Amino acid sequence: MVSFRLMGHPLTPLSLPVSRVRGDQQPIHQKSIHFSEVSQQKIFFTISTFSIFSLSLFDPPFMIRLKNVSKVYHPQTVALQHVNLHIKPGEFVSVVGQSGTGKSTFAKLLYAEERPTDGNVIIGGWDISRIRDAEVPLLRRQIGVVFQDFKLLSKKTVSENVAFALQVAGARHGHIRDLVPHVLHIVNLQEKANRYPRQLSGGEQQRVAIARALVHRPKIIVADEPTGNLDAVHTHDIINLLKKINEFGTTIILVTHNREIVNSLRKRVITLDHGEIVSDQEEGRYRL
Amino acid sequence: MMTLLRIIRFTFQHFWRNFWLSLITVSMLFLTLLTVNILLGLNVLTDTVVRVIEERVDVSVYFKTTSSEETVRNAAGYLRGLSQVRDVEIIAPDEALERFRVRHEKNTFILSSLEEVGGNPFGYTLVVRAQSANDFSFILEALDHPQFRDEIRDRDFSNYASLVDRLMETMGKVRVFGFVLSGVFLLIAILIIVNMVRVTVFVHREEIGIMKLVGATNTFIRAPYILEAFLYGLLATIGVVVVIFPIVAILEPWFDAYFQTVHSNLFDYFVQNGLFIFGVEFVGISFITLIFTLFAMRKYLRV
Ligand SMILES: Nc1ncnc2c1ncn2[C@@H]1O[C@H](COP(=O)(O)OP(=O)(O)OP(=O)(O)O)[C@@H](O)[C@H]1O
Ligand SMILES: [Mg+2]
Repeated sequence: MVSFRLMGHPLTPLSLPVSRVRGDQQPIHQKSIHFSEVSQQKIFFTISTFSIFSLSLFDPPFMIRLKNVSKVYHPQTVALQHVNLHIKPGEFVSVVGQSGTGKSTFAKLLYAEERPTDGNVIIGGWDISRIRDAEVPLLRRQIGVVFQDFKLLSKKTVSENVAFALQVAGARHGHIRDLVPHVLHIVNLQEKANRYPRQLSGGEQQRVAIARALVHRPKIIVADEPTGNLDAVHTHDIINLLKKINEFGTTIILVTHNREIVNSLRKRVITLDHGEIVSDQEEGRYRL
Repeated sequence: MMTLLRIIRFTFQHFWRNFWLSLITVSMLFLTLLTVNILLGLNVLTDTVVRVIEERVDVSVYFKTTSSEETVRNAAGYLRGLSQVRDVEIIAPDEALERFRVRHEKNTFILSSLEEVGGNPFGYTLVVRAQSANDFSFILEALDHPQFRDEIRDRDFSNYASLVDRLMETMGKVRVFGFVLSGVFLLIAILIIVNMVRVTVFVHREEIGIMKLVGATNTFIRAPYILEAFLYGLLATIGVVVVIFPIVAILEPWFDAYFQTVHSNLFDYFVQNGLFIFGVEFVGISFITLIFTLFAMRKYLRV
């Protein structure tokens, strides 16, 4: 599948649907397309665990860009209004704000569960504001999503859950067999690979979800309150894991209510209030 | 190819890991098919009953004692020429008397009155069997032929005629009832399937949502459900085949003993038409399940 070969390519900001890889939307770093899957694999397994996520060599101007985005839910709920935003590749951005201020809506726009009522959402050079239903899967295979309620497939084991994210993209069996244990090792769950989600603690389940989000080497991970259901210890684990992933270059969007997390991260913080960005600080702190 | 194998594996996995739900689904489909086959069997038996009646019903035409054998033979020949007539038996006066004696062996009163009359009070008798019970009225009219009318002393058709009419009417009603019953059962079956499918898909709605979130296309999500519908259909059909044949084999001798002369051929019916019957049932039930599954999934497959 074309999309899979393109996927995870370290040089393209984001794989576009084949129909779009033409004209003005063509990825700028076209010269590197000749990198083969095999060489990628080698880099992945030999040089270092997460070098594949590294985008530092090729700084596209932005990974996520929102241009005057508004979202109005039927009939009259304004969830977001006039949001302008740039997020560079490799950034770790926390999104905070009171309940109902549009944080989840912002996240949903990124993985195209919702479309903006107005304005443009551009991810890695791909304008997904009016994305067609048929193109959504291609987008989602390049964005990892993590949720408060884990959203694991209850009838699949840990390793099957992780493998599923690759299977939907038509990955080869051998590739899956090699990669899944590797990713489970990263989240330290290799011993529980054959358990079902209900046999795991909340923190472990969330690590499975993160492994699944990681496995197709996304450019972006969107985590909507990933620690909302976890105790302090597990919360700490998960945030450390996200930090580690970020260090290897993956852009992380973390929606959270947790003051300590935000303050300890010392990363960029965007504060939403009534659907508007009221503050956006590098090395921000939680202030409400 | 690889995707196909993967989907097949998912289908079986899904089936086993949701074993109770699968079992209930297959049972429902099985009961539906069982009902359909029972109705088919009843239809065969109805036919048998009609044949039994037709076989047994005949008209006796009693000629006057004065009628000559030649007249009677002519009449028999004439009747045999009619396409509605199955066969005609000629009973000579002596034989008629003999049969009468045998029939009333134990009734001394009748026998003694027969002695009193003296001689043979019987003339020739024709026993006419029709091709089908509907044909008796035509045969009745044919016997009104001027050539024989005056030779005929009596016909005990009128009794039979009303009996046959009543039976035909009853059979007709049974058939209509069977149709209506089949229709009602089919409707109930479809309602059960629709509801069952909705429950199944509802149980899996979260799963469907998660699959969408990690980038599965709708086709990829649907495919195992499509295969699963056929798997359910196949298992239900196999179940029905396994159950129907022994039941029929056990019941058939019992029916045949009851109908005596006529063979119901119930077992043969299922053997000869089995491939067609069960084939159509498999395809039908699978597609009904499939269509309503896809319909029920639509809601959860939206982005
Ligand atoms: N599908 C929907 N239909 C209608 N209104 C919605 C929908 N989803 C969200 N809203 C409304 O949009 C507003 C923003 O919701 P959103 O879920 O983005 O808030 P949030 O910041 O994530 O809140 P929380 O911190 O409680 O999760 C709320 O007023 C909510 O009621
Ligand atoms: Mg929320």
